Amino acid sequence: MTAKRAVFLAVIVAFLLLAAAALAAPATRPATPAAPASQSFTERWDDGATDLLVWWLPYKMQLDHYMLDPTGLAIMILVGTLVGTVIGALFCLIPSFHIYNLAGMCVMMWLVIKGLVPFAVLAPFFMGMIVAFAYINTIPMSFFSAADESSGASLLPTNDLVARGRGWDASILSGIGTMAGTLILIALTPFAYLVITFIHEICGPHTHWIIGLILVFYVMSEWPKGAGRGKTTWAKFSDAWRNVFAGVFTFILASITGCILLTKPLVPVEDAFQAIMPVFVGFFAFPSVIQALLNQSDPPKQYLSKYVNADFKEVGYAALPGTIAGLMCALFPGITMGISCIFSGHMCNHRSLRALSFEKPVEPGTYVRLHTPEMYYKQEAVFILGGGITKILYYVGAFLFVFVLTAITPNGMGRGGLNIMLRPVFSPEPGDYFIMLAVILIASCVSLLALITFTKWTIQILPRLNMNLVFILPSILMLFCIYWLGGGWVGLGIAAVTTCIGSIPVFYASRRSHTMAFLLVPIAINVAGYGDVLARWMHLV
Amino acid sequence: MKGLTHFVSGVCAASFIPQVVRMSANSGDGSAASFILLLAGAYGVLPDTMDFKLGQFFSIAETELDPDPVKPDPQHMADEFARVINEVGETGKPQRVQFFTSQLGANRWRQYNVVFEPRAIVIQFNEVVSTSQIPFPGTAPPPERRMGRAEFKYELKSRSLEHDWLNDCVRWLRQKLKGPDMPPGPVKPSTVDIFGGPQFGFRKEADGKIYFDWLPWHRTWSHSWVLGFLLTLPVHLLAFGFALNANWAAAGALSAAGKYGELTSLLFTMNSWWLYGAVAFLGFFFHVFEDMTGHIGGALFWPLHKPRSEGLELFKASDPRTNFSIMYTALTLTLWNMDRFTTKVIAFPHWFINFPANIGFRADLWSAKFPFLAGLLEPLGKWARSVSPLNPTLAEWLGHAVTLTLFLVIPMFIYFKFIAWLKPRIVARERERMELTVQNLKVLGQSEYAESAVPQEAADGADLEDVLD
Repeated sequence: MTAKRAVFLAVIVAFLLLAAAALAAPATRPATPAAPASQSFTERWDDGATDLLVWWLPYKMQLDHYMLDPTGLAIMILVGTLVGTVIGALFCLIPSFHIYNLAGMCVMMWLVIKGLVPFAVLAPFFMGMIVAFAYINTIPMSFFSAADESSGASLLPTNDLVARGRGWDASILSGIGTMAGTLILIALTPFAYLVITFIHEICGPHTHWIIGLILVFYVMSEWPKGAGRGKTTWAKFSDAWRNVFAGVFTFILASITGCILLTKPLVPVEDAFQAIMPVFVGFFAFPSVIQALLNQSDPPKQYLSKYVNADFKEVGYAALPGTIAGLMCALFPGITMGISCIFSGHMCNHRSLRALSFEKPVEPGTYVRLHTPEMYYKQEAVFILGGGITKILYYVGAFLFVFVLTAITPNGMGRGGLNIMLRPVFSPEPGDYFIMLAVILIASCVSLLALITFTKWTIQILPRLNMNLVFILPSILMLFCIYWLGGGWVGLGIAAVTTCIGSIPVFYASRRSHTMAFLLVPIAINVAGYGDVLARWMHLV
Repeated sequence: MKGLTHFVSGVCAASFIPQVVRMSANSGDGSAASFILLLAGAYGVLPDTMDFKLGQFFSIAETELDPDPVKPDPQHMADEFARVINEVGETGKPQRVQFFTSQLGANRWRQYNVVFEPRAIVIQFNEVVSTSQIPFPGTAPPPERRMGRAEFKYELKSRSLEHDWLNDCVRWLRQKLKGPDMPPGPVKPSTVDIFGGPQFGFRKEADGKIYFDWLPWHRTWSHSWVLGFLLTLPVHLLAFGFALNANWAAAGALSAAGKYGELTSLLFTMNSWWLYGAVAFLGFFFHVFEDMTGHIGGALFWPLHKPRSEGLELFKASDPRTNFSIMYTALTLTLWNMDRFTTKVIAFPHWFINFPANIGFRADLWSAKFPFLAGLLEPLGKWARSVSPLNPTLAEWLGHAVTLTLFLVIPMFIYFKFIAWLKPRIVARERERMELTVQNLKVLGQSEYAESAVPQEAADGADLEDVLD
């Protein structure tokens, strides 16, 4: 990092400290008539906003009247879908900003305005938003290296392509994969009702050990990345094991943090709705920003090509691993793309159907030709396409499965953050599933078009962007969000701790998904029925 | 085989024990469920974990060949290798050679080949490759620094003459399964590019030739059923200790049980403590068993009988068809076991228990719904009610057979048919590409440039004909 950047970073940190202090001041000033510090965001919003929205009530009554008619209902659903898609698409462009942060804010706003907006727009709005995220999130992930947990599945090839000036290919390939995933998700409808429901019910009582198995394999399958140079056993061992040590260390720290924070939350009860946000911003967003600021170089010149390097064959190759990984995420709590893609990659890798082969020299005594099969060259595209498929099955599928209401799944079978956030305000009804399919299709088409346009814009403005600001401004936004929504100073403290933990895999080249142990270990322990005993054993209760 | 294949196979094997599945299920009544199946998975990958994470670092090679990333010297490497072979031939003392990879950046490696001739070695440096082993065109070293060749006095061979009773048994079984062994071919070439490099062992045998041992540290002590049993002893002991502790806690002797009594009483009982070690051993056993179907084999009875035997050579460890089919089978069987021992939501077994009375019920229902079919359905219903029900055990297994046919046999059949259709097409396309490459080389007449043309073509996604034009 140059001295100029270090000074710039120091100024920003100083500004943040001052801003945070200023924000904290009103709560400690006894004379201020402002709301007490213990009030939640919803209550603070409620105080000011409801009065302003009263003028809307007559229009709301008119809307309710229109919605008795199917056409009016359809128009409202369409409006909800489009508004959700547009908002989701715009906010997803912010590096490090996760859709669940936005969804959390929207749910809290909904709690305030629920009497003023037709209920029928709620699910389409959120569905549109999450579909847009599945598509547009590729742009910050590829061009600004703003990694969330799931980016592990598609980060390496996309970053490599961006470095070679082919960011357009990366983005569009991911979009094509996501669109293919949309079609797969719709085609899976009979499978969802006739097979997945049974798998869901069979796995239900066994969830704890299935998550445990995934964790065991995940930790045990990280092989030493070092070459093992050295004259003694210990020298070879320590050279090779750096990443494994770092991975195991991260896993242990994240597990302990998870057991503590999920058993005895430090965030005030009124902010519990977004209690997990500081943790994941710390695990994924801030380490990426630090890494980007330290490693930053000028963005490479990008090219707009007429074609992308893939055809239907590649989509076909990517379909099976992408679908398996996506369904894993959609069906098991806490399993994310980074983890599931390791599994599906191990399971479905058919690259060696045709391995590297040695060919005779053209002239005797000259080079042996090592023939690299075409499949090797295509794996980059297959990887990105598969990542796109997984992404939509993970985020959208997990929410869509809430609407699969059958005799054995009367409450649906959805997983994922959005489902958890919406549970208190929304429950699906029979017939919603097919409306949601239409919503997904419309939102997908809009999002794919938006992806193409936004990618072109990004490529045009990328050379003119100040990359320091690109990373630092969203970070400031995230710090404000954590302060306001994630528990104030306590939330910032939690984010600081998890940033330290999340930085270990970044700087020691181990898997970042080890930090997901924060959720997975406590979930497995609690689902198995040991939560109370563990809490007593750790003196947390 | 792949780690995940061993992992799911171990869990699948353990899931055939009804008590294991039942104690693993969360009954939903507030009682705790066991994590016992984790042991099957963990011990299922343990042999390879011990090899690749520990064992290889204990195998210190006498000679290390570590190419300079900036200026690799293939001739020096070939000369060093030839020196080792000559020393082994002259002294009779076994030696090992470690090749290292050459990393140029986070995602850049210098690839090289180690090609063996009966009495010579060729080290050839190729293009820079990514971690996905994709070459970057035009990055091969200049011709004068690209290849090194050195001859040695002794002949290399890929199959050992020295075999013991265990190897004889494996060979006998292999010949029964596959027919007579093919004559051993030459030592296969190796490509060194990403992560760690290979280690080769060399040993002079009675016929004066040098036996080439690929990865001499792999599948030796770690792939032993005896070691597997020994490694499960701590599990047995701990489980027994915890079960005793839980027993004391249950008997009210909490002071004796200590502060862990509450936890252990949830996990262990005197009836099931032995299952923990047994499940762990099953995982380990199946790993070694599956590896015996490959080419390298294992040291099944180490330390009682130390040499590594050959394998049955039925599959290649990296064959995606074997790995995928075993994984799919194991996952399906595990789900089936979970259902039949605990949840029982799959309907077929229940359906057959009521067979054929349920046919009668359906026939009555449909004949009321579709009167024009009544003539056909009513006699069917009458017949169904008159027939005595199936034996419950037979009915249940009929249901299981239907389940497995639908979800295991048919999908596997489709998979193998699809791969059988796909693979010849991939091979034909690759052959076409190779032939075009040869034409390309002849047309251009300059190998180093011509070789780069193929990666260029594939990387950019254009047709090869365009490159030739």
